[in-house]
Amino acid sequence: MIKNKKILHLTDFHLHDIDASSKEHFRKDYYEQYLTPLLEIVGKIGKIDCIIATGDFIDRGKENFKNFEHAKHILEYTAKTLSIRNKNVGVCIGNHDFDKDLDREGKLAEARKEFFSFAENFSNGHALKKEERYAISLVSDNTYFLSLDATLNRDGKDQPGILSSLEINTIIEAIKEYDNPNNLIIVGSHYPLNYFERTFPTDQDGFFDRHFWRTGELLKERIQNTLKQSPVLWLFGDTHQGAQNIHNNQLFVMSGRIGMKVVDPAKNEYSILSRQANVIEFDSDTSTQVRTIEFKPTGHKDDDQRGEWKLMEAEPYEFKIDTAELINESIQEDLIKVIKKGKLYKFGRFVINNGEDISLGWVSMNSLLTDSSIAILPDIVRQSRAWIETKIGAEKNQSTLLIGIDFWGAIIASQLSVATGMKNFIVGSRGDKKNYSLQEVLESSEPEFKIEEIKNIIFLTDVVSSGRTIETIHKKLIEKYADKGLNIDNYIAIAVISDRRQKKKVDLGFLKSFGTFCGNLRIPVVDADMLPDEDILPKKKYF
Amino acid sequence: MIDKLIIHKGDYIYIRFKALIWHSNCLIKHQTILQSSINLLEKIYLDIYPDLPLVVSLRGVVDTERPFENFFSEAVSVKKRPLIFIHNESFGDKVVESILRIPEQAKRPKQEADPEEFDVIKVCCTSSQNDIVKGLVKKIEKVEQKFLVDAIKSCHKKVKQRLLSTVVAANVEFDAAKIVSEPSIFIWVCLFMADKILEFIKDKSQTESFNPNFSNIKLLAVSLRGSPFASAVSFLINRGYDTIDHLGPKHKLFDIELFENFKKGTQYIYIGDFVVGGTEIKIAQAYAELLGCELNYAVVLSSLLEPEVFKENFKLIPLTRINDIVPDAEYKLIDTNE
Repeated sequence: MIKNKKILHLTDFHLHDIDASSKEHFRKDYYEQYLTPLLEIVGKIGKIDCIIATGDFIDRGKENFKNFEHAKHILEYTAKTLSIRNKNVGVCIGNHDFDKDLDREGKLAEARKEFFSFAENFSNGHALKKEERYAISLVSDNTYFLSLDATLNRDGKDQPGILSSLEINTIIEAIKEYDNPNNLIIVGSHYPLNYFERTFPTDQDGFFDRHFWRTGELLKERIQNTLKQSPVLWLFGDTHQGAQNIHNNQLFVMSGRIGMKVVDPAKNEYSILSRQANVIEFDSDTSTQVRTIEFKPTGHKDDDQRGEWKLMEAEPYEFKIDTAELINESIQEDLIKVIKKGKLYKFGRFVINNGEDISLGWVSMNSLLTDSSIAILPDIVRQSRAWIETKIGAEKNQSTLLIGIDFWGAIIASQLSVATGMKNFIVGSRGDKKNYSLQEVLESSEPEFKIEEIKNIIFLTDVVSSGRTIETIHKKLIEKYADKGLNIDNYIAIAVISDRRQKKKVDLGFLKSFGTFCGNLRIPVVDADMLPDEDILPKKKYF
Repeated sequence: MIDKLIIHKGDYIYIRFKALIWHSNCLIKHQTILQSSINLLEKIYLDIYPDLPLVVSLRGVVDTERPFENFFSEAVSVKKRPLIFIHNESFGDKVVESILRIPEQAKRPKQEADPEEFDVIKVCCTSSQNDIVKGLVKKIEKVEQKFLVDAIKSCHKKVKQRLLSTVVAANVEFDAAKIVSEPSIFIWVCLFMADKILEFIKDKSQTESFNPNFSNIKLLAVSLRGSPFASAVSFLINRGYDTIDHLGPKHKLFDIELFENFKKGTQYIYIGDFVVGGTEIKIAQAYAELLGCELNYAVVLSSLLEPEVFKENFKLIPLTRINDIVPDAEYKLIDTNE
């Protein structure tokens, strides 16, 4: 899991005239004075793990190639001040960073030669994988940076490039190797490929043609569907405006420009946009925050000397839980091996949740978890213990309650109790409550724990497919204990199997964490009315 | 958790090493003394009721991953606490050798001492022939039985209602989930259940009704509250187990694999919580026979009736009797014609 990772995002330096007479904050004799107060604020936020800069380091391409050297100095000064190394700095190319004429002639690599040379000074120089369209590098511990070239294939036009399906496939193949819950993947692209509804204007002036990477959107979808374990952070520049949002549970941050000469209203140059930098405090367990630091001119006018950096109010983001995190890869392999060997997977119409949903797959849990060839159950218990410890710490046993749902949830909960000392509570949930004794269902049972002492509740079950069972038990808990001191900090769920590509039918957002030991087994769940009548495809069994 | 696993008898404390192994290693290599469980014993030896003798049962422990005398050499030199090992029937040569290498001051036998006064004995016993050990083992048997009775007693409450599985009105009901919910109690109860089954299998191994290899013996759980016991005990005795969700206390079958996954010829031992009329066991027996298996034995926490009552159907092996736990427990047949 990603704990408190801090990323500084800078973009759009637009180094043009950097001599002493210039009106640019990044001019040679002024950039340190400009950056130092910013970096002091950044330093107060905490230790930065890496810097990502998303293009337009120079202005107007080949006219200013010589300014790449100064861009290098700026980034090196920033890194040094924040006590990180050049290899912790990731860069990607912007539309001002290459020779448009050569690009028009199809000499794509030659057009970008100067940028490549500049990028070699940073993490791109230690790239793990690199092709024309992308580079993947390690920018910090467990933090991989996918640097995209959003400008390719536009024949020198000042517009986002065209990304082919083949290129998308290649990138997906390259990045999926790093898909792991302990890795953060940062995708950097100069052009945004995500829609920021409150920020983007209407398309009257061709804004989207010039600034929105339409073909990149397909890559976004593929990455969102492929990287199911790693948290993903997307960073963009280009528009000179700041914006953030969450889409499909991934965070997208577009930072405003940090450089560029001051605007001159007399020449009809006017911009109300503040220069800015963002620090993303990434934590996949608790809330992630985007801390924007803006440069405010002291007077009414944009000013190349006077102004101050101000830390704006942070925007917290909670990641919604809609798929389970894989707890242990080797147990997943074991489970799938036993399922294959024992032919324990059945395909058909399996009615779940009293007919609301149909599961198209079903696994014999009895045969799976009692298989004596490998000690799956003790392994599940041991790994659950370790995983829970990463979520709530090691000293919370007395304030944690395990809720074992149905047979296998009860078995796992009881074993986990032995391993941890946590109390448990077992409940039956299948079918109607009339199928159980009063002591076996949540509504009427009389468990021993004192609810006011419980701060963490962990649901344990064999399979989570639609998510409705856990949602229902959560609701019943609230109904039963709301007026009896229920005050839970963390709800967590562990399922032996939960298809990570199957979106849950309900919002499991109340869960702080959701883990599974087998997420790669496809168990599609569809609405009951999506299937043909039962005289065409008979139902199997209610369970 | 560790302090809750200790049985404190005032003049000594008692622990089963197997409970420590289970707690630290989740039933992996549960017959072997591992470093993690030695560490727990070290903590107990040094910190928990440090002035009282520590009695350690090695029942069911057959091997040690690494010699543990080194720990005891150091610990004993720090704290000359009486340390007594009992139940040496199963542990192997490596364990014996390890114990023998523990420093003299901890294992000096005092044969002449009165077994009833072992609180002052500084001895490490490796032989059940030792009179002191014999006396101690007898005393521990009573201690364990009392713990079990108290544990089961703790999950009863007075009611006035009809039982779900049998046409009987009762003034008391038991909820085994309360035992399952408290891990320190659950561990002990499962260990007692495992002892009972191993004892039973050992006795029966001489008869024709059991396969001498025991490879076809499995445990069977058919209720929500029986399943944690069946699973834990199966690991403790190295037997497989199956579950049927569920035949009791209300009969509602959710398992769709039932007819495919139960191997013909399996001899099931039913594992359950409480037995009044035995209906749930009889239903399980009917299912077992339907699937080409046998279910002739049932091990349960407690029974209202004498096992003799059920002998025509199955052999019932209860750990306790309900009336020994709640003497005024009453169960009456309901006249359904009323």
